[in-house]
Amino acid sequence: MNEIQNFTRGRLSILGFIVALCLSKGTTQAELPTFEKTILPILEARCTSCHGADTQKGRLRVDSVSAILAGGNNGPAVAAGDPERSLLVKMVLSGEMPPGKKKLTSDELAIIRQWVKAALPTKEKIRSIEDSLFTHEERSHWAFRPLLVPALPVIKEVGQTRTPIDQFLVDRLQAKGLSFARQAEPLTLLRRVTFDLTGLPPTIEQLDEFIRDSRPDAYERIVDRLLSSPQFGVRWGRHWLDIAGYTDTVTFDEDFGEPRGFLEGKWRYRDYVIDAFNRDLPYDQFIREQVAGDELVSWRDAKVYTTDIVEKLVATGFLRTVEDISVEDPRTFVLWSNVHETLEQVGTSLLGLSLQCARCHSHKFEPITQQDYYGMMALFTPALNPKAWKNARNRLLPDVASPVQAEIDKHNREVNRLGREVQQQIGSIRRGYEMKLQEEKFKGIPEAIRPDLKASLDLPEQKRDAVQKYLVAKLGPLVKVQPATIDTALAVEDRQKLARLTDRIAELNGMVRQHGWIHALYDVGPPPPTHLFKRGEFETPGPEVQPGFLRVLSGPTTENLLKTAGTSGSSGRRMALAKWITATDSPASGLAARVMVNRIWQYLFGQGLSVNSENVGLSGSAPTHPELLDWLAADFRDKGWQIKRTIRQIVLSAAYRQSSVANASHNASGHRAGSRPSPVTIEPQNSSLWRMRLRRLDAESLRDAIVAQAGKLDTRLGGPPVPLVYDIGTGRVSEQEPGADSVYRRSVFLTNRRQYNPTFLGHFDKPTVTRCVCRRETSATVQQSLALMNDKFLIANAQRCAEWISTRAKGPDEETRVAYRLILGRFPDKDETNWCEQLLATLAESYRKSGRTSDEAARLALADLCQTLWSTNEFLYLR
Amino acid sequence: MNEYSLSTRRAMLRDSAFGLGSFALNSLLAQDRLSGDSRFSLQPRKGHHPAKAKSVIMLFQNGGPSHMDLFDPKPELKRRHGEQVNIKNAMQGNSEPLMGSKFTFKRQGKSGIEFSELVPHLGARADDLCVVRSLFHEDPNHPGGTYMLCSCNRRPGRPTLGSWVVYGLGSENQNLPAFVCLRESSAFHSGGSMQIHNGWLPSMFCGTELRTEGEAVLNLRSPRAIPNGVQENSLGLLARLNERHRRDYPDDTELDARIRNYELACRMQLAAASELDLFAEPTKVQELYGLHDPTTAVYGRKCLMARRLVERGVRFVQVLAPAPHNSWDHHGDINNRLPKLCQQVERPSAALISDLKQRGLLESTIVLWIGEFGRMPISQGGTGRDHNPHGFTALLAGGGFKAGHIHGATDEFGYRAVQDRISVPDLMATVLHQLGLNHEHLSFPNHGILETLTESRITGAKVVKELLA
Repeated sequence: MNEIQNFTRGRLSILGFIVALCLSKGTTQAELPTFEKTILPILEARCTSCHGADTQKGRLRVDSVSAILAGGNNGPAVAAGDPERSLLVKMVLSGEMPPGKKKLTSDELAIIRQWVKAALPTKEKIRSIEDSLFTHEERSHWAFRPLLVPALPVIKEVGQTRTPIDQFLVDRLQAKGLSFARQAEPLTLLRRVTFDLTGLPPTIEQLDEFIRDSRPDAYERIVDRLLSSPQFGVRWGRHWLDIAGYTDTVTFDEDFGEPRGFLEGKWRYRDYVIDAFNRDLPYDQFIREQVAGDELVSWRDAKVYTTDIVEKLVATGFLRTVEDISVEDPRTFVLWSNVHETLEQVGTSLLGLSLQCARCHSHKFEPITQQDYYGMMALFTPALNPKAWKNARNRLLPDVASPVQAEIDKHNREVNRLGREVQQQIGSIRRGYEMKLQEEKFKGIPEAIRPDLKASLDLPEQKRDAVQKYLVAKLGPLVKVQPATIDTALAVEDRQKLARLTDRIAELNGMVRQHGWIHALYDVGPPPPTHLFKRGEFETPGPEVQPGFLRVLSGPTTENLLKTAGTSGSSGRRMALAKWITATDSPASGLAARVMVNRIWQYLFGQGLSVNSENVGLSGSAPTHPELLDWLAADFRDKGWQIKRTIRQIVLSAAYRQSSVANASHNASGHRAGSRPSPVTIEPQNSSLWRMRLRRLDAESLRDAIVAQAGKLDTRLGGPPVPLVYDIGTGRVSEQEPGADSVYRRSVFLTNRRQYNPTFLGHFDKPTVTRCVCRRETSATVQQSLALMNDKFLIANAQRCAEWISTRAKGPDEETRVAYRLILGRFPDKDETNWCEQLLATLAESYRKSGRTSDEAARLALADLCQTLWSTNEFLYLR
Repeated sequence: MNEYSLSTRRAMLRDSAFGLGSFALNSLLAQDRLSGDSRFSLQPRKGHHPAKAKSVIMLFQNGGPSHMDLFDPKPELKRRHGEQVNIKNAMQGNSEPLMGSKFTFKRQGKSGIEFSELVPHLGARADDLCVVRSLFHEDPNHPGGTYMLCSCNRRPGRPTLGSWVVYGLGSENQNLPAFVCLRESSAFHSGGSMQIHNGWLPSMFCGTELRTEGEAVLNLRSPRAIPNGVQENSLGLLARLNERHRRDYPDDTELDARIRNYELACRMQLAAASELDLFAEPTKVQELYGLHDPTTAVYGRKCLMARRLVERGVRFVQVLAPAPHNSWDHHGDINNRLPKLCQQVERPSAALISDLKQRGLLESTIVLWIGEFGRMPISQGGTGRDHNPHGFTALLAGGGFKAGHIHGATDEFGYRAVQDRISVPDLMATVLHQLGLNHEHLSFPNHGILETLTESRITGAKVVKELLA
C-alpha cells in the first residue's frame, strides 16, 4: 500500500479511488490498454518532444502516469475514469494539441479515452504530485529543505570562541587560514551594541557607568539592559515596519504638501509592532496575529471589544500596507492589483520569495507554479474580494463593538438633537432683536422699493432673478444687522438667558462620544471561487483553483490545515496560512525561521548570511554559512521563536564583539602581521567575518542621535504621527523646529510617507516605500556632505549641543573631552585634544573679530566643533 | 594656507579646494579614480557600442497634451464633430460625441509636416523634428502613465530612464550632478519624486533637483552669516579626523567617496554659482528663450538651464511642465486653457532646439518632448478631453533621429495608434541605442533577476530603426 501512503496533499480521494479500481479490476487488466504497452508509445510519438524528459512546456510532462496526474500549469492532465473532463483528451479533441500537422488519429484518441475511462491502468508505482512537479535540486534548496539542527563543528583552536555561533564561523575561518580580529575596544563595543539594539547612542552616564563596572559580565548586563529598554521596540519595530512596507498613508502619495488619503488610525499598527517587539511576542504568534488576528478572536458578535480583540484586529494592519487607491479609482484592475500586491508583500516579507513572477506563468527560477500562486491568492480572496470590494474607507472598523457603536451613535444623535434645540432657542431670541433693528434700518430705504427688497431678501440666493440679485447686492448691506449690534441691544434677562444657553452648548459638545478606527483585514463574505488568470489578467480567467500553499513546502503535516474554519464567520484560510508558515512540523516553518534569523543577522552585521534577504529562493544568494544559518533558525523555531533570545545570542558572540579595523586580525590568535598574507588579501569581501563590518548609521539613528545629543529627544512611545512641514519654496520637507519647552520625537513617529520623507532623512537613504524594504541601501552622495555642512537642522542642534556641553565643561580642554564622549562615545587622544582646542581658539577669535562677545564666540565655536564631529566618518559609522 | 597644513598629498589638495585652484584639483582627481567597481561611480564610461548622442533633455509635459489639437491633425474628426461613436472616456467611463479640434493646422518647412496654430515656434522647427504619432500604452491614470513614461512600467518603484543612462555612462562633469531635474518650486505633478527615482539602482543614480530661481542646490550655502575662514577651518579639522579614521580602513572605498564628496561640495559651492548663472548668457540668447517676457520666462529659464547643463557635460536633464499640478490635464475649457499653456511652453521648447543646433550640440543631444499620454477625440463635459493612452504623439530632435520625419499614425479620430505602433519600451530602447547602450545588456541584479529598463522579455521592446537617420 506504499502507493496510497505516497498519495498525499489533496488528491487522496481521487488517487485512492484509482488504486482501488486497479486492484479490484486486476483480473481484467490484461484486456485493457496499459500505459506502458499502449499509451506511452502514442505519447512518445506525438507529445513528449515538448512534454518529456528534456522539455516541459507549461511545466507538463506526459512520459509517466505520475507526471500526467501531477499535470502542469493548467492542473492535472487527466481525470481518472472521466475522459470528458480530462484536459489531455480535450486538447487533442479540439485540435489544439499537438500543434502542427501531426495530429493523433481517431484510433489513438479512442485508446487513450478507453485508458482514462479504465482509470489509468499502469505498472508504475505512482509518485506523489510534489515529487513529479519539483526536481530534487529544488526540493533540497538550502532554504526549503527540512530544518534540522546541524552538528557543531569540532575546531582545533577554541580560544576565540564564546558561543556555538563562533564555532561555525571559526571553523570556516580556520579552513581559509584566517581568524577573528581582536575584540573591539570596550567603548567601541558599547556604542555599537547601543545603536544596534536601540537606535540611539550611549549617554555620557552610561559610558561612565560601563567604564566603572569591572564585573566580568559587564557587557552582558549592558545587553540585558538594552533589550529591556522600550527603545529596543522602537529600533526593531522600525526594521519590521520596513519589512511590512508600512506607511501612515493609504492611497496615492505623490503630491508634495500634506498627504492625501490620510485615514485616521493607521498608525495603531505601527504602535502594535513596537509593542510586540518590546513584549518579545514570539514570532510565530506575531505572524498569526498579523496574518489572521481577526480569526483569532470573536469580534463580530462581541458585545464589547476587549483590549485583546482590538489588538488582534489592529495586527492585521500588516495586510493593509500596500497602496490602496480604490476610493479614488475603483476600476476592476485596480482592485485586482491590490490583491496581487498584498500577495507579493506576504511572499517577500514572510517567506523571502518573489511570488509575483508566478502570476502570469509558473516561476522561471523558483519551484512555484502558477497554480500555487492562485492557490495562495485564494487564501486572501474571502477578505480581498474584487467582486465584493470594500474600499479603504468602507473597510475601516470602529474600535468598539457594534452594540457599543450603536449606543454611541444613539447617544450622539440625542446630544445633537438637544444641541439643535438650544441653537433654535438662541436663534429665536436673537431673531426677535434682529427683526426690530432691521425695521429701523428699513426706514432709511425709499418706501417704493422696500417691499421688493424684503421679498428679495426672503428668497434663497439661487431663486432670485436678476433684478432681485441686484437689489440684494446693492441695498442688502444697508439693512444688514451686525451680530455685535444685537449683542449691545440685548436686555439684561435675555443676555443672561443667552449666556446660560451658550454654556449648555459647550456642555453638550463635551458630551459627544467618539471612537477610533482600525485598519483591519477580515473576510467580507463567504469565500468566492478563485480562478487562475491566464497571463495574469483577470479578464482571461482559467480553471478554478482551490486554496493551497506552495507545494514545494507542503507535506502530510500541512494537508489538513485548510479543513478547519475560522471563528466568527470567517473562512479560516488566513489562519491556515499562518499555521502553514509557523507550525513547527510544517516544512514552511523552516523557511520562515531562516528568513527571519537571516534578517536579524543582517541588522546586526550589516549583511545577512544570505545577502539577498528579500529573496532566499533559488535565484537568491547562497548563504555563506548554511549550517550556522540552520543552527540559528532551528534554535529560534524550536525554542519558542523568541526574537530577543536570538539577538542576545548573536550580540554575545565573539564574532559580534570583534574589532572592525583591518589590521587588527592576527593579534588575538598570536600570529604576527607580516608573517602571512593579510586577510584583506585573502578575503577582501570579508564574507567569513574575519573582522566586524564597518556600517553606516541608518537615517533614523543618525537623526535620533543628533537630537538626543542636543538634549532634545523625547523618548515617549506611540500616538498619531508627528506632522511634517512642507516648504514649497525650496521643496524641502522638515520637522517643526521645537520650541524652548518642546522636543523632538523619535523618527519612527514622524509621518511616514511613501514619498517625501523629511529631506534630511531622505538624504541619508530613508527609502521611498513602494514595496517591502527588506534591506536599506547606503549611499555616499554630495547632498549628504552639503546637508552636514549647511542644513538648518544640524546647525540648530549643534547650538543646543554646545549649550548642553558648556553647562558641564569649562574651557576648551574639558569641552573637547565632553564633546568627544557625548558625540563619539570615547575619550579624545592627545593629538585630537590639541587639534580641537586649536580649532576652538581659532574660531572663537574669528567670531570675536566679527563683533561677538567672548561668551558668544566661545559658544559658537563649540557649536561648530559639535557639527564637525557629527560630520566625521567616525560618527556616521559604527566601527 | 590655513594653520592646518597637512602632510599627505590628498589633504594638501583638499586644503586648496577650500580656497583656490579647484580646477587643478579637478584634473588631478580625475586621474586618481576610485579603485572600486567602476559601475558604481559617476566617472564617464563607454557604452556597449559607438554612440550617436551623449546626453538627453526630456521635456516632460505632465498632464497629457492633446495631440489632436497640436501635432496630429484629424480632418475626419472635424467633419464628424458631434457624432456619437463607440468610444468611452478613459477615466469618467462615459461616452460623449466626437469633438473636432477648433485649431487650424498648417504645413511647415521643407518637410511639410503639419502643426497646429498653437505651436508656431515648434512648427518652424519642423525640419529638425521627428514626429512620432503612434505611441501607446495601457495606463489611463496620471501616476501610472507617468511611471510608464519614466520607467517603462506603470507601477512605481523602478529606476527611471535618467538613472539607467547615468548608470550606463556616468557623467562628464564632476562638479554638477549627473542627472538633473528642473521644476519650478510651485509645480508638483503626479508621480512626484518617483519621476527621477533610481528605484533599486544605487542612490548615486537618483536625479537631483536644481532650481532655476533662488538657491539652485539644497544646502549649497550656509543659512547663517559666518565669518570668513570658519567653514574652511572646520572642514580642515574634519579632513584630518576623517583621514585618521580612514587609516584603519584603507580598503573601504565608501569612506574615500565620502571624503571626496566634501571636495565636490566645495567645488559645487564655487562652480554652481557661475555654471548655473543664467544671467551670464548674452541678452540675445536670453531673449531667444523668452526670458524677457513674463509668459515664457519661467519655462524659458528651465530650457536655457537645460542647455547650459548639457553643454557642461551633464548627462540627463528632465524638465517638468509648468505649475499648476498636471498642467496639460485639460478635462474642461480646453479651447482657452490649451492656448495659454502653449504660449508658456512652446517658444522656449523651440528655442532650445535651435540654440542647440546653432552650437553644434543638437547632434549629440536627444531632445524628447512627451507627456504621459494624449487626449480623447470625444468631448468630456462638452469643453474638455479625457486621458487617452491608446495613441499619442512624441516629438524627438537631435541625437541621430530622423529630422523632418513623421512616424506612424493614429486612426481617423486620433483615438488609437494603428500604423507603425511604438510602445514606450520601444521608444526607450531606441533612445538608449543612440546613447551607445544596448537595452538588453544594460542590466542590474535585483531580487535575483537581471533587471533592465525595457524588460524586453515581457514587453518585447526593440530598437525602432525607422526612427533613426
